[in-house]
Amino acid sequence: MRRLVILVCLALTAGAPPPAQRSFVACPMIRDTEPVPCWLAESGGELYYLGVQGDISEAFHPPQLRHRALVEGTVLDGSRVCGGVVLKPVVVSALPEIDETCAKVLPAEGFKIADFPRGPGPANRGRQLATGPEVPRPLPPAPQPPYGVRTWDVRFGFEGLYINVHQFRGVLDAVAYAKASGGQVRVEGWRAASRLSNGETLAEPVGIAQARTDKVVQALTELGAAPVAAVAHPDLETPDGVTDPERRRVRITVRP
Amino acid sequence: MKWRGLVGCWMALALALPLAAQTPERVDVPADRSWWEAGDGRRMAAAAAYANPYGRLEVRNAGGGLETKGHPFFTPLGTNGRACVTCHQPADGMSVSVASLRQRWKATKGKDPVFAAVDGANCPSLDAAKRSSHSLLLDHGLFRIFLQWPVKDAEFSLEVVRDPSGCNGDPVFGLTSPNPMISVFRRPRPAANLKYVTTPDSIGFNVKTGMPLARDPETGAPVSMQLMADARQPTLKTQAIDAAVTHLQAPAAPTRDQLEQILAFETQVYAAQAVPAGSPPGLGAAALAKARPGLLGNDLKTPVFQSFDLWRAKAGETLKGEAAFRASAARGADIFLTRPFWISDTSHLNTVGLGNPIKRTCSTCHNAQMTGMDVAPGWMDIGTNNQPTADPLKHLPLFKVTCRADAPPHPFLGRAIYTHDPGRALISGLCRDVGSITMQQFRGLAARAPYFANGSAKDLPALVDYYDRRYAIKFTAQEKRDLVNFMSVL
Repeated sequence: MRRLVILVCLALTAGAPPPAQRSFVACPMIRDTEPVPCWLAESGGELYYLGVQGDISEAFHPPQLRHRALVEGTVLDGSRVCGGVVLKPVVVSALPEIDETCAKVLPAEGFKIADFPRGPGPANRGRQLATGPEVPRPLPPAPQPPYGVRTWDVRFGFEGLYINVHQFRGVLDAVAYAKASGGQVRVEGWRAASRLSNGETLAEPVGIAQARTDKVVQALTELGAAPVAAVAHPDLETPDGVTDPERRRVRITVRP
Repeated sequence: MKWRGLVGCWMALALALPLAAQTPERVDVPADRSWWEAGDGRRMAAAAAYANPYGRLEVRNAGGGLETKGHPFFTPLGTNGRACVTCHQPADGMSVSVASLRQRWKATKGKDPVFAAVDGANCPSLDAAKRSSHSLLLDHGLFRIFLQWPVKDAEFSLEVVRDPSGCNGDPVFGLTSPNPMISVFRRPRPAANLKYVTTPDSIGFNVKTGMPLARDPETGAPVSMQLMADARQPTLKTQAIDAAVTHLQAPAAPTRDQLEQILAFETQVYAAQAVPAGSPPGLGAAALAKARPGLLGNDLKTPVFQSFDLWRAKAGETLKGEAAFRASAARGADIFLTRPFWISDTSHLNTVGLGNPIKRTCSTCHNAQMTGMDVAPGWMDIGTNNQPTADPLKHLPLFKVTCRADAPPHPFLGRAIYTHDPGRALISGLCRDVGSITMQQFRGLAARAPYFANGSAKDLPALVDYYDRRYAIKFTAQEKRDLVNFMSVL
């Protein structure tokens, strides 16, 4: 079973994380605020604000009720939104297994959201009219020489294999660069661990390094930039409680 | 209900002069000529109208009138006497309704090729002469879809809990037969407005899988992955070949020329409920022929079905009759676009970076302009196939899906799932896809009840009621009427 592995690993030392860092596993909570709901999680007796409902194009991807979440973030400045201490930046990973205890929907209790990307209804951008003249989407500029070695990291949620729309853009960039430069593509994938604020370490399952690597190889191949080599690294790097989300990655290297 | 009674009087104005002025050939097809037999050889008019319970449906050939004699879409290509048109009837929005099937059963005493045992019976091993052997088709509009079992590299095993058709346990056609197949039962999708259905999401990314879109095996171009309930065929061409061999029991794939003719027809035929002149600009088949595909309609400036302002009541205005109906439909369009509710536990919506739950509207998922499909590959699990959210469907098979311990579970149902149709999972082999079905277009709804891929909503009110229950929306009676009226004019 791809269960997460919790290692009590106080001996793993990479120095104590800065005091503003927070890394914990908790049930997320959603507060029914206007105009859009906000997301919270509690740890160590403190309520933290994670972000608001938005679109998949936003940097913040909210958690899921009925799933615990790994929250990895930085206390911004002690300010509060939605009743919680703001974590920013913050990375939230919905853990795969269902947890029916994660079901809390909080009332607004007077809180309102002032800063939000869009309301609960439709957008109001009006990009194109259906019967109007077609406006071609501008193509991204093609990579230009001189070409050197370049790398892209495709990052994943904890125990995640899903490549989100932001990370997919990196894949597309790498493909465009490989095609323009004629370079060879190599792929390396990692399994990672997260150092929690309570001193425990949360480690991903061993097989995930290979699964992530396979996924990116498949995407590159389907897009016409098949890698010449792919390596999975199942060994854990030492987590530090700060940069752990960056280690859940697949690195694409293009060498012209 | 009063609003239904009102429909006929204003729909009688359908296909009014402006349409006639644009196309020289326009016919009103009488009810006794509405069923299109395979090999009929009739001419298909440039624009034809067919009566239905909400008014009239218009089918428009953008390429002009069509001689169907010998045309492969209208001609039997296989051994069972069916043609493509058998299950894609113009009068039924290029799908087929239960009402038409029942009429056809009565008219032919069950001899019409649409009742062919291969998939028009609950199982081919049943006595084809008995009505009860075709109950899924005659009562729910469901054809048998038989797919190879097991799925390669599936993350799950499957056992049959209930098998009312007998086909999954059948010694010849069942899961343990020499040629093991799984039988599920689905509605045929409309073979119209297909430029919208086949246009791939412009970002080239499949938000459901986090991977590139699938590709046309011939050209390498990205495809929409929206064509079928389980998205198993990438293109109209591969779908036509698959349909010919399975549903028409053709001994071989259609010829290149036949395929070209089928595709040429399918990509120029439009179907929508007919509306009179002066109606909202997104309504009617001509609007579908004119508009561009691939646009996001979840936007106040470019609404999914464009503006309904022409039908909107003015503040304080009391309307009666036709005007009241139109104002109700306009309110329905507003509800569809702007009334928020909690969308929860929906695999491939709440799992793609939006959070679970999300407070949004119908148009969040039904976001593609002109059709109300999803601009992204549209398979989701809204619960119509999976227990405990599915309606009681005692006429359908029930499977227990057990996910491997080392595979990611279904995000909201875990590793033991009771389903009437595993949906996309029968193609992908993924647990998270169990029950997921590609959403359908909204056009011509009035002509092709019942709804949902498994036919579980017998009419438009039942369709609205399902969403109301599933997502605890608490629509008022007026909101429900408005939504039904809105959908009836699409």
